[in-house]
Amino acid sequence: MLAKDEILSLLRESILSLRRSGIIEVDIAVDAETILLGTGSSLDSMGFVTFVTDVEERLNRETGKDLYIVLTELEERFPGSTTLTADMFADYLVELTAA
Amino acid sequence: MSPMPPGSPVMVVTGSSRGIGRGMAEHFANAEYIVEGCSRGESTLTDVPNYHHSTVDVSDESQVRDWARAVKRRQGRVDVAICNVGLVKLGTVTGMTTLESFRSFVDAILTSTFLVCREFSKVMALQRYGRIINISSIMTELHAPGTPAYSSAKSGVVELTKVLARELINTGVTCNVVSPSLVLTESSEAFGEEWKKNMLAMQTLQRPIEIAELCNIVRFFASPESGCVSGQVVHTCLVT
Repeated sequence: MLAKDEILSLLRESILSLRRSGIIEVDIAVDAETILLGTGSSLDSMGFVTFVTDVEERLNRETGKDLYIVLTELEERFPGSTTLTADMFADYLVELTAA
Repeated sequence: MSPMPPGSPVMVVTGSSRGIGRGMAEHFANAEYIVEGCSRGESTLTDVPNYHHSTVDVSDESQVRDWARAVKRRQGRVDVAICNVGLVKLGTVTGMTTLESFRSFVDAILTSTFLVCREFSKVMALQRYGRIINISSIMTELHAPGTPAYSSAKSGVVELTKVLARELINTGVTCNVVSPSLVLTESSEAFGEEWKKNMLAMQTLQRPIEIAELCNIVRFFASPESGCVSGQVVHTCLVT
Protein backbone atom coordinates (compact mmCIF):
# COMPACT_ATOMS: atom_id res chain seq x y z
CA MET A 1 0.00 0.00 0.00
CA LEU A 2 1.20 3.49 -0.78
CA ALA A 3 0.55 6.47 1.47
CA LYS A 4 -1.30 9.49 0.11
CA ASP A 5 1.85 11.63 0.09
CA GLU A 6 3.65 8.98 -1.93
CA ILE A 7 0.77 8.86 -4.38
CA LEU A 8 0.73 12.63 -4.80
CA SER A 9 4.44 12.53 -5.38
CA LEU A 10 3.95 9.83 -8.01
CA LEU A 11 1.31 11.98 -9.72
CA ARG A 12 3.78 14.88 -9.85
CA GLU A 13 6.48 12.67 -11.32
CA SER A 14 4.10 11.42 -13.97
CA ILE A 15 3.00 14.92 -14.98
CA LEU A 16 6.63 16.06 -15.14
CA SER A 17 7.61 13.07 -17.24
CA LEU A 18 4.73 13.62 -19.68
CA ARG A 19 5.62 17.29 -19.89
CA ARG A 20 9.26 16.45 -20.65
CA SER A 21 8.28 14.05 -23.42
CA GLY A 22 5.95 16.62 -24.97
CA ILE A 23 2.75 14.69 -24.32
CA ILE A 24 1.54 17.50 -22.06
CA GLU A 25 2.14 20.96 -23.52
CA VAL A 26 1.74 23.10 -20.39
CA ASP A 27 3.40 23.11 -16.99
CA ILE A 28 1.09 21.74 -14.30
CA ALA A 29 2.04 22.11 -10.65
CA VAL A 30 0.26 19.28 -8.89
CA ASP A 31 -1.04 19.82 -5.38
CA ALA A 32 -4.04 18.27 -3.67
CA GLU A 33 -6.43 20.84 -5.12
CA THR A 34 -5.22 20.56 -8.72
CA ILE A 35 -8.11 19.68 -11.02
CA LEU A 36 -7.11 16.77 -13.24
CA LEU A 37 -10.39 16.29 -15.07
CA GLY A 38 -13.31 18.60 -15.70
CA THR A 39 -13.67 22.38 -15.84
CA GLY A 40 -10.44 24.04 -14.77
CA SER A 41 -8.18 21.14 -15.74
CA SER A 42 -5.11 21.85 -17.86
CA LEU A 43 -5.31 18.34 -19.27
CA ASP A 44 -7.45 17.64 -22.31
CA SER A 45 -9.22 14.27 -22.61
CA MET A 46 -6.33 12.59 -24.44
CA GLY A 47 -3.84 14.08 -22.00
CA PHE A 48 -5.87 12.70 -19.09
CA VAL A 49 -6.07 9.21 -20.63
CA THR A 50 -2.32 9.18 -21.23
CA PHE A 51 -1.69 10.48 -17.71
CA VAL A 52 -3.82 7.70 -16.20
CA THR A 53 -2.02 5.09 -18.33
CA ASP A 54 1.34 6.39 -17.15
CA VAL A 55 0.22 6.51 -13.49
CA GLU A 56 -1.02 2.92 -13.77
CA GLU A 57 2.38 1.78 -15.07
CA ARG A 58 4.18 3.63 -12.28
CA LEU A 59 1.89 2.18 -9.61
CA ASN A 60 2.51 -1.33 -10.86
CA ARG A 61 6.26 -0.79 -10.86
CA GLU A 62 6.15 0.77 -7.42
CA THR A 63 3.95 -1.85 -5.76
CA GLY A 64 4.87 -4.94 -7.77
CA LYS A 65 1.14 -5.59 -8.08
CA ASP A 66 -1.05 -5.93 -11.13
CA LEU A 67 -3.35 -2.95 -10.67
CA TYR A 68 -5.89 -1.43 -13.03
CA ILE A 69 -7.27 2.09 -12.75
CA VAL A 70 -10.91 1.76 -13.71
CA LEU A 71 -12.54 5.06 -14.61
CA THR A 72 -16.03 3.81 -13.80
CA GLU A 73 -14.86 3.07 -10.25
CA LEU A 74 -13.82 6.71 -9.96
CA GLU A 75 -17.28 7.79 -11.10
CA GLU A 76 -18.89 5.48 -8.57
CA ARG A 77 -16.66 6.73 -5.80
CA PHE A 78 -17.48 10.37 -6.44
CA PRO A 79 -21.06 10.34 -7.76
CA GLY A 80 -22.29 13.65 -9.15
CA SER A 81 -18.87 15.25 -9.04
CA THR A 82 -18.06 17.23 -12.20
CA THR A 83 -14.34 17.44 -11.50
CA LEU A 84 -11.60 15.14 -10.33
CA THR A 85 -8.91 16.69 -8.17
CA ALA A 86 -5.50 15.22 -7.41
CA ASP A 87 -6.70 14.72 -3.83
CA MET A 88 -9.72 12.67 -4.96
CA PHE A 89 -7.62 10.66 -7.37
CA ALA A 90 -4.99 10.01 -4.70
CA ASP A 91 -7.66 8.74 -2.27
CA TYR A 92 -8.83 6.27 -4.89
CA LEU A 93 -5.27 5.15 -5.62
CA VAL A 94 -4.44 4.67 -1.94
CA GLU A 95 -7.41 2.33 -1.71
CA LEU A 96 -6.44 0.60 -4.94
CA THR A 97 -2.91 -0.09 -3.79
CA ALA A 98 -4.16 -1.34 -0.44
CA ALA A 99 -6.40 -3.97 -2.01
CA MET B 1 8.16 11.25 -38.76
CA SER B 2 7.32 9.72 -35.40
CA PRO B 3 10.05 8.09 -33.32
CA MET B 4 10.44 4.32 -33.37
CA PRO B 5 13.39 2.80 -31.54
CA PRO B 6 15.79 0.46 -33.33
CA GLY B 7 15.21 -3.29 -33.27
CA SER B 8 12.40 -5.47 -34.51
CA PRO B 9 9.04 -3.71 -34.42
CA VAL B 10 6.32 -5.39 -32.37
CA MET B 11 3.00 -6.18 -34.03
CA VAL B 12 -0.16 -7.54 -32.45
CA VAL B 13 -2.65 -9.42 -34.61
CA THR B 14 -6.06 -10.58 -33.46
CA GLY B 15 -7.70 -13.67 -34.86
CA SER B 16 -4.34 -15.14 -35.77
CA SER B 17 -5.24 -18.82 -35.65
CA ARG B 18 -6.97 -18.88 -39.03
CA GLY B 19 -7.91 -16.97 -42.15
CA ILE B 20 -6.56 -13.51 -42.89
CA GLY B 21 -5.20 -13.04 -39.37
CA ARG B 22 -3.22 -16.25 -39.51
CA GLY B 23 -1.84 -15.36 -42.91
CA MET B 24 -0.78 -11.91 -41.81
CA ALA B 25 0.74 -13.11 -38.55
CA GLU B 26 2.79 -15.68 -40.44
CA HIS B 27 3.80 -13.20 -43.13
CA PHE B 28 5.01 -10.51 -40.75
CA ALA B 29 6.61 -12.92 -38.25
CA ASN B 30 8.67 -14.25 -41.14
CA ALA B 31 9.60 -10.71 -42.05
CA GLU B 32 11.15 -8.26 -39.63
CA TYR B 33 8.36 -8.18 -37.02
CA ILE B 34 7.93 -9.76 -33.62
CA VAL B 35 4.29 -10.83 -33.77
CA GLU B 36 2.01 -11.28 -30.79
CA GLY B 37 -1.09 -13.06 -32.02
CA CYS B 38 -4.23 -14.17 -30.29
CA SER B 39 -7.37 -16.18 -30.80
CA ARG B 40 -9.92 -17.95 -28.68
CA GLY B 41 -8.16 -21.23 -29.32
CA GLU B 42 -4.66 -22.54 -29.42
CA SER B 43 -2.07 -21.43 -31.94
CA THR B 44 -2.11 -23.02 -35.36
CA LEU B 45 1.22 -21.45 -36.30
CA THR B 46 4.10 -23.69 -35.39
CA ASP B 47 7.80 -23.23 -36.00
CA VAL B 48 7.30 -19.59 -36.95
CA PRO B 49 10.11 -17.45 -35.64
CA ASN B 50 9.21 -14.36 -33.64
CA TYR B 51 5.61 -15.46 -33.13
CA HIS B 52 3.99 -15.62 -29.70
CA HIS B 53 0.39 -16.76 -29.25
CA SER B 54 -2.07 -15.98 -26.47
CA THR B 55 -5.50 -17.45 -25.93
CA VAL B 56 -7.80 -14.45 -25.68
CA ASP B 57 -11.48 -13.78 -26.29
CA VAL B 58 -11.13 -10.26 -27.67
CA SER B 59 -14.77 -9.45 -27.02
CA ASP B 60 -14.08 -9.84 -23.28
CA GLU B 61 -12.96 -6.58 -21.68
CA SER B 62 -10.81 -8.01 -18.90
CA GLN B 63 -9.12 -10.54 -21.19
CA VAL B 64 -8.13 -7.81 -23.65
CA ARG B 65 -6.87 -5.61 -20.84
CA ASP B 66 -4.76 -8.45 -19.43
CA TRP B 67 -3.45 -9.37 -22.88
CA ALA B 68 -2.41 -5.79 -23.66
CA ARG B 69 -0.57 -5.58 -20.38
CA ALA B 70 1.12 -8.95 -20.89
CA VAL B 71 2.29 -7.98 -24.38
CA LYS B 72 3.64 -4.67 -23.11
CA ARG B 73 5.52 -6.45 -20.32
CA ARG B 74 6.90 -9.09 -22.64
CA GLN B 75 7.95 -6.83 -25.50
CA GLY B 76 8.32 -3.45 -23.85
CA ARG B 77 6.36 -1.69 -26.59
CA VAL B 78 3.76 -2.19 -29.30
CA ASP B 79 4.31 -0.61 -32.70
CA VAL B 80 1.52 -2.03 -34.84
CA ALA B 81 -1.92 -3.40 -33.98
CA ILE B 82 -3.96 -5.26 -36.56
CA CYS B 83 -7.56 -5.83 -35.55
CA ASN B 84 -8.71 -8.55 -37.82
CA VAL B 85 -10.84 -10.83 -35.71
CA GLY B 86 -14.30 -11.48 -37.05
CA LEU B 87 -17.12 -13.91 -37.17
CA VAL B 88 -17.17 -15.68 -40.49
CA LYS B 89 -20.50 -17.36 -40.96
CA LEU B 90 -23.36 -16.87 -43.36
CA GLY B 91 -25.97 -14.36 -42.23
CA THR B 92 -29.65 -14.08 -42.95
CA VAL B 93 -31.88 -11.26 -44.20
CA THR B 94 -32.86 -8.78 -41.50
CA GLY B 95 -36.32 -10.24 -40.96
CA MET B 96 -34.81 -13.62 -40.17
CA THR B 97 -31.90 -12.42 -38.08
CA THR B 98 -32.25 -13.14 -34.39
CA LEU B 99 -31.10 -10.63 -31.84
CA GLU B 100 -28.67 -13.22 -30.54
CA SER B 101 -27.13 -13.63 -33.98
CA PHE B 102 -26.94 -9.87 -34.57
CA ARG B 103 -25.25 -9.35 -31.22
CA SER B 104 -22.78 -12.16 -31.86
CA PHE B 105 -21.57 -10.39 -35.03
CA VAL B 106 -21.36 -7.01 -33.29
CA ASP B 107 -19.48 -8.49 -30.35
CA ALA B 108 -17.07 -10.50 -32.46
CA ILE B 109 -16.32 -7.71 -34.93
CA LEU B 110 -17.06 -4.26 -33.49
CA THR B 111 -16.82 -4.71 -29.73
CA SER B 112 -13.57 -6.63 -30.07
CA THR B 113 -12.07 -3.96 -32.31
CA PHE B 114 -13.12 -1.26 -29.85
CA LEU B 115 -11.54 -3.08 -26.90
CA VAL B 116 -8.29 -3.89 -28.68
CA CYS B 117 -8.00 -0.34 -30.07
CA ARG B 118 -8.76 1.17 -26.67
CA GLU B 119 -6.13 -0.81 -24.81
CA PHE B 120 -3.33 -0.69 -27.37
CA SER B 121 -3.94 2.95 -28.35
CA LYS B 122 -3.22 3.90 -24.74
CA VAL B 123 0.09 2.04 -24.88
CA MET B 124 0.91 3.69 -28.22
CA ALA B 125 -0.10 7.21 -27.14
CA LEU B 126 2.18 6.93 -24.13
CA GLN B 127 5.13 5.81 -26.28
CA ARG B 128 4.23 8.52 -28.86
CA TYR B 129 4.23 6.06 -31.73
CA GLY B 130 1.89 3.48 -33.17
CA ARG B 131 0.08 2.14 -36.18
CA ILE B 132 -3.44 0.78 -35.81
CA ILE B 133 -4.77 -1.06 -38.84
CA ASN B 134 -8.30 -2.38 -38.73
CA ILE B 135 -9.60 -4.89 -41.22
CA SER B 136 -13.02 -4.17 -42.66
CA SER B 137 -14.62 -5.71 -45.73
CA ILE B 138 -15.89 -4.96 -49.20
CA MET B 139 -19.26 -5.94 -47.73
CA THR B 140 -19.56 -2.41 -46.35
CA GLU B 141 -19.89 -1.19 -49.96
CA LEU B 142 -22.12 -3.95 -51.27
CA HIS B 143 -25.12 -3.59 -48.95
CA ALA B 144 -25.87 -7.18 -49.83
CA PRO B 145 -29.06 -8.82 -48.57
CA GLY B 146 -28.30 -11.29 -45.81
CA THR B 147 -25.50 -9.25 -44.26
CA PRO B 148 -27.29 -6.84 -41.87
CA ALA B 149 -25.17 -7.83 -38.89
CA TYR B 150 -21.82 -8.47 -40.59
CA SER B 151 -21.88 -5.36 -42.79
CA SER B 152 -23.17 -3.10 -40.02
CA ALA B 153 -20.44 -4.29 -37.68
CA LYS B 154 -17.73 -3.87 -40.33
CA SER B 155 -19.05 -0.37 -41.17
CA GLY B 156 -18.85 0.37 -37.47
CA VAL B 157 -15.19 -0.62 -37.56
CA VAL B 158 -14.58 2.00 -40.27
CA GLU B 159 -16.29 4.73 -38.25
CA LEU B 160 -14.52 3.73 -35.04
CA THR B 161 -11.18 3.92 -36.84
CA LYS B 162 -11.88 7.41 -38.17
CA VAL B 163 -12.94 8.70 -34.76
CA LEU B 164 -9.83 7.19 -33.19
CA ALA B 165 -7.68 8.69 -35.94
CA ARG B 166 -8.96 12.15 -35.00
CA GLU B 167 -8.50 11.58 -31.28
CA LEU B 168 -4.92 10.37 -31.72
CA ILE B 169 -3.79 12.74 -34.47
CA ASN B 170 -1.30 14.56 -32.24
CA THR B 171 0.11 11.49 -30.55
CA GLY B 172 2.16 9.88 -33.31
CA VAL B 173 -0.41 7.11 -33.63
CA THR B 174 -2.16 6.55 -36.96
CA CYS B 175 -5.36 4.56 -37.52
CA ASN B 176 -6.38 3.22 -40.90
CA VAL B 177 -8.59 0.59 -42.48
CA VAL B 178 -7.88 -2.09 -45.03
CA SER B 179 -11.07 -3.24 -46.70
CA PRO B 180 -10.38 -6.39 -48.71
CA SER B 181 -12.47 -7.87 -51.48
CA LEU B 182 -12.85 -11.63 -51.54
CA VAL B 183 -9.91 -13.41 -49.92
CA LEU B 184 -9.80 -17.15 -50.12
CA THR B 185 -9.50 -18.60 -46.66
CA GLU B 186 -10.68 -21.86 -45.16
CA SER B 187 -13.75 -20.01 -43.87
CA SER B 188 -14.78 -18.49 -47.20
CA GLU B 189 -14.02 -21.79 -48.94
CA ALA B 190 -16.56 -23.43 -46.65
CA PHE B 191 -19.30 -21.20 -48.10
CA GLY B 192 -19.00 -23.00 -51.44
CA GLU B 193 -18.49 -22.24 -55.12
CA GLU B 194 -21.89 -20.58 -55.67
CA TRP B 195 -21.27 -18.08 -52.89
CA LYS B 196 -17.79 -17.34 -54.25
CA LYS B 197 -19.19 -16.83 -57.77
CA ASN B 198 -21.85 -14.42 -56.45
CA MET B 199 -19.26 -12.49 -54.45
CA LEU B 200 -16.96 -12.07 -57.44
CA ALA B 201 -19.91 -10.92 -59.57
CA MET B 202 -20.42 -7.99 -57.18
CA GLN B 203 -16.81 -6.74 -57.33
CA THR B 204 -14.72 -5.31 -60.15
CA LEU B 205 -11.73 -7.51 -59.38
CA GLN B 206 -12.76 -10.85 -60.80
CA ARG B 207 -10.48 -12.98 -58.66
CA PRO B 208 -9.86 -13.58 -55.00
CA ILE B 209 -6.90 -11.70 -53.58
CA GLU B 210 -3.93 -13.34 -51.91
CA ILE B 211 -2.97 -12.76 -48.29
CA ALA B 212 0.41 -11.49 -49.50
CA GLU B 213 -1.36 -8.79 -51.51
CA LEU B 214 -3.26 -7.75 -48.42
CA CYS B 215 -0.04 -7.69 -46.40
CA ASN B 216 1.42 -5.29 -48.93
CA ILE B 217 -1.28 -2.74 -48.09
CA VAL B 218 -0.89 -3.37 -44.37
CA ARG B 219 2.85 -2.90 -44.71
CA PHE B 220 2.28 0.57 -46.16
CA PHE B 221 0.10 1.66 -43.24
CA ALA B 222 2.45 0.00 -40.74
CA SER B 223 5.51 1.78 -42.03
CA PRO B 224 7.16 4.46 -39.86
CA GLU B 225 7.21 6.58 -43.03
CA SER B 226 3.39 6.59 -43.18
CA GLY B 227 2.91 8.90 -40.22
CA CYS B 228 1.05 11.45 -42.35
CA VAL B 229 -1.70 8.99 -43.31
CA SER B 230 -4.51 8.50 -40.79
CA GLY B 231 -8.24 7.90 -40.91
CA GLN B 232 -8.06 6.42 -44.39
CA VAL B 233 -9.69 3.37 -45.94
CA VAL B 234 -8.13 1.33 -48.72
CA HIS B 235 -10.48 -0.88 -50.70
CA THR B 236 -8.84 -3.45 -52.92
CA CYS B 237 -11.36 -2.85 -55.71
CA LEU B 238 -14.69 -1.25 -56.57
CA VAL B 239 -18.09 -2.85 -56.50
CA THR B 240 -20.08 -3.46 -59.68
